[in-house]
Amino acid sequence: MNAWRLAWLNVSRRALPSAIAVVAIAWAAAAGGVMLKLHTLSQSRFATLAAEGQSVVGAKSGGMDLLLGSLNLEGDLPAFIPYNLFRSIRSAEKIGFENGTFSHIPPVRAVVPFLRFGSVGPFAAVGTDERFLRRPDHSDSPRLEAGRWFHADAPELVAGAEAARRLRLAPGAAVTLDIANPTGEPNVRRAEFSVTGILAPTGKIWDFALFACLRQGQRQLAEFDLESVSIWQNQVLHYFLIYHESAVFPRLQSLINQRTVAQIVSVPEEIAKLHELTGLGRRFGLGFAALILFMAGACVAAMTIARFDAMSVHMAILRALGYSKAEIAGSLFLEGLLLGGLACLIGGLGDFLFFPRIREWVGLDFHGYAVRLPLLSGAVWLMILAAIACAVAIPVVKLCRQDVDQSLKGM
Amino acid sequence: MKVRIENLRVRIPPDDRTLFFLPKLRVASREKVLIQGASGMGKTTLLHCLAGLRPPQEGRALADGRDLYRLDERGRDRFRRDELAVIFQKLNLLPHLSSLENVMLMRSGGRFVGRERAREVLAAVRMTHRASVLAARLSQGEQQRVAVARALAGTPRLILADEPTSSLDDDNATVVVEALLAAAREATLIVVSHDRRLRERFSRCIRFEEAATS
Repeated sequence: MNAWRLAWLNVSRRALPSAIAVVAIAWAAAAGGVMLKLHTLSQSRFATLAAEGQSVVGAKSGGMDLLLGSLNLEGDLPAFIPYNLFRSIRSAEKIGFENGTFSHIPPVRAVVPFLRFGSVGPFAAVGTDERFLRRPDHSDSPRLEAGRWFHADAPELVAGAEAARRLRLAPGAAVTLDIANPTGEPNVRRAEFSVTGILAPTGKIWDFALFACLRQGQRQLAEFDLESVSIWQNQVLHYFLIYHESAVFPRLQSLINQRTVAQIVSVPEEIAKLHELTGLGRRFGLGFAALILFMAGACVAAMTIARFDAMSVHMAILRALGYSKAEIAGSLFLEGLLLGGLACLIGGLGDFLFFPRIREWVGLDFHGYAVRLPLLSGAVWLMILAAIACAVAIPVVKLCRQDVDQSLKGM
Repeated sequence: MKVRIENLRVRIPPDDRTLFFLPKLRVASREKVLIQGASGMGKTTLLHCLAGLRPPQEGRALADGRDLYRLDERGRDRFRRDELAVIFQKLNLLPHLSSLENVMLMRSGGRFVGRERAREVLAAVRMTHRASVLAARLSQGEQQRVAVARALAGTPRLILADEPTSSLDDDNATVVVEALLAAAREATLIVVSHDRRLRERFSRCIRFEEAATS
């Protein structure tokens, strides 16, 4: 009976202990893989975050939500802010309030509006204007690689590089957008847009988005009954980026935060806070992931050692029948490989099925370039198999020192 | 296979006392020898010495002139694999394997025993009907017959049997002994047993306490 057959019989005929071992190892593989991927994902957000503009304005919420929602297109759709606020700030007008008072808007260099009004699969459709392409500093302006910018009055859009690649879009192509109902009701409208241009890759979140004229986005929203979510009807947007001199920020902050429904946050400050938070989180996450991996490896090793340790008489019998130590060690290794392989297969399947939901649940379902997630799971599986190989080494050492005569006599 | 023992001394822990000292034993090729003696004198240990499983403290155990304990470990593995068959006192079947699979653990001529050959030897000990039953579910007597079948499955030149009929009724004891003797037609057979029924079937019977001292 060759080593494979012997290993298979040892696994299959001890069904309950084998099943417990496989489930435990599979759990360890899945948990280790998920933890490592979540940890890596949480770090990868900095790769795509578009650190642009000096400030970002959105509906009142946490600063971090504003930052990640606007510059990494993360999370659910936020509440609207009035278009008039954007227009007033862009044109440095006076703002008049209901009590008859006025505030003067400090001068700013540029304002870029964003309205997330739909999507194609995972790619968001964002309404904006020509300022998106022509930033005051130029250095961070996206560039058209093919085609032209959209016309304000036509249902046209420009696709980010990665969205265009994955959706196979080229200038002239037609694309159907799902227009999300901002009231939260489940009805979704569809709208045909034509692609007029493709952006050059930026390495940022813009590569994963589709850009149309802000007015087109507002027109699409007007098809819904917006009364419950907007007192401004469709004259709304979600965010706008402001480019300004740093001395202007306190005045903008005082005006927007205290006298409007919106909130302004400083992009560099929020990014610094995010780094600080995830810096702590990174150390904690890495430690936690390492702990889970270590526990997974230790659990696998302990289980395998206990299993093989109970086989000393079995090994003595095989030795007495003329099986060499190498043959028995090979059979033990194959048995470990069978258990580990089966467990990795089940753990991998669990990881594959549940990771997208877990990722969404913990709020890490943003786009990313840098992370090769399946490779991380592969690394965990390799580690599990390595732990099993190490665990086999211990009974093999015992096998080498075994007194076959005593083992056969049951002493 | 000729077997020769010279001045074999085995000591046992904890006080390192001599279990037995066997100055001389010669078994000719194809000879059938029965060793009898009181319990605890070291008969099982003697068989383990002859199987290359228990190095003695002194003396030599030779098989066809080869000192088993001068062979390296691989050499002893090859000896057990290719030339030897052992029926252990505790039977030592693998409990999670069936009767057939236990027999198929053996090798013959360098190759694993096939299903057909395994069925053949199980038939010789009247165990065909229990071929697919796990060893753990067999009675003691059935396990003994499977252990005998396993030893007979290869083409051994030396068969060592430790109490091969201890759990068997007269009928089955006869079957097992016949099978052993038939298999040992071309082999040397050394049997350790208390069973008086076996005396008449062996050409030579050795009283262990007379041959060895403690």
